[in-house]
Amino acid sequence: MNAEKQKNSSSNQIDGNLALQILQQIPTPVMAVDPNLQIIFMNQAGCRFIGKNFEEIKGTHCYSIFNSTHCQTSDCRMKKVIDGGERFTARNQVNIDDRVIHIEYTTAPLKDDNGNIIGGIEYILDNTERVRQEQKLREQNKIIMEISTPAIKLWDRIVVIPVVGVIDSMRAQQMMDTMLKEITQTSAKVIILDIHGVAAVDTAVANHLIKIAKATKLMGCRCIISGISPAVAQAIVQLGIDLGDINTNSTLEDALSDAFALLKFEVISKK
Amino acid sequence: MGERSVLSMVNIQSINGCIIAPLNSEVHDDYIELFQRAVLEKVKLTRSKDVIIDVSAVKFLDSFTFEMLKESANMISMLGAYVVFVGFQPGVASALIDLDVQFDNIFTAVTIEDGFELLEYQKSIKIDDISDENIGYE
Repeated sequence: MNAEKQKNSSSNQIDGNLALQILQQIPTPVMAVDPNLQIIFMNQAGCRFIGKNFEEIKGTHCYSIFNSTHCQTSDCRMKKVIDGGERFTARNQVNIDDRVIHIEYTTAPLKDDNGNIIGGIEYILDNTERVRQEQKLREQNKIIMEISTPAIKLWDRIVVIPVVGVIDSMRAQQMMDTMLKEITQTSAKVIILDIHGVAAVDTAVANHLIKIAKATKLMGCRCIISGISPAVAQAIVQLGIDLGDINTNSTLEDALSDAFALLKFEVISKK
Repeated sequence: MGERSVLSMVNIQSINGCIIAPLNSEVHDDYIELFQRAVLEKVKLTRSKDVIIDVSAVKFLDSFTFEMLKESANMISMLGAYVVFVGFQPGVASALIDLDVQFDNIFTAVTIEDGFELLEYQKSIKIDDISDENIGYE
């Protein structure tokens, strides 16, 4: 009994026929090639994936079937494992007939009993859906980035930048870039940063604001921060942040009249 | 190096008694030193009271070079002239902020026109200072 068990474990516990059946029925494409990249095995899922019978593709070069972006380049992970690599996983895009499929493939060397490399094995995961989602996310991020920092020319040489939402360091950097670019483009003399729509101000956000104000000053432009709510004022003082000589106002209206004063403009009602 | 030869290497123009000194696009220590001397010589020669340093061509500026520029401004004000830096590029400004440089005692403007205005403003506060017997310059 024991001896039989040992015999079984030495032959990988299952007999070859069952192993082949399992391999054939794994619901993901599995392929093996020889060192010349000619296909020596493709399971049923793989055949379905490429839409051909195994007899049709046996012995053909894998690159002629998959036609992927890695094929016949130094990116080919199959070539790398055949040349002695350990194991690779990479994203790729295959072009079968007219279909374009985004995949993630993992390769490993195929070794004989003595450990000599006699080819390569790979399995393929279809991640078209994931790639599509990621693309959508990237596009949305781009849109948010674009709409997040509008610069409005309010008056001759006065520019307003309303800020809504959360300020993180990336956004602060982007705000600074927009502002500084706007200053050179419109040769603005006063720039009003309206933080009315910013929910909370912590030390990081306040530091970003100070940085932005400093940069505008270095460019030779005045920066007024408006829309400071009582809660924000409280928070800034309680956090012990020194805003230095940055002009601050509670409303955009006051900031605008400050800007007019700086530019020596006067608003007169027509009677 | 003689005064004339230094002056010929840096393109400095004078308009209505105001010196306009543009910096090259590539600034390095040697160049700033040359520039410094040329501007100082020019101030001495023309006995000008106004100096505008145009930095709009400068694409890269490190904190050390910026310090040298600040020193130049100090030197020029020691000769009794007023200095305004004009036209810092957005990239330069944000890089300098990231380098955390101090620029509280320099004057900057977006355009040369604003620069002239700022020079007038500087003069007006200087006169106020003297009349209040608070002689001294930051």
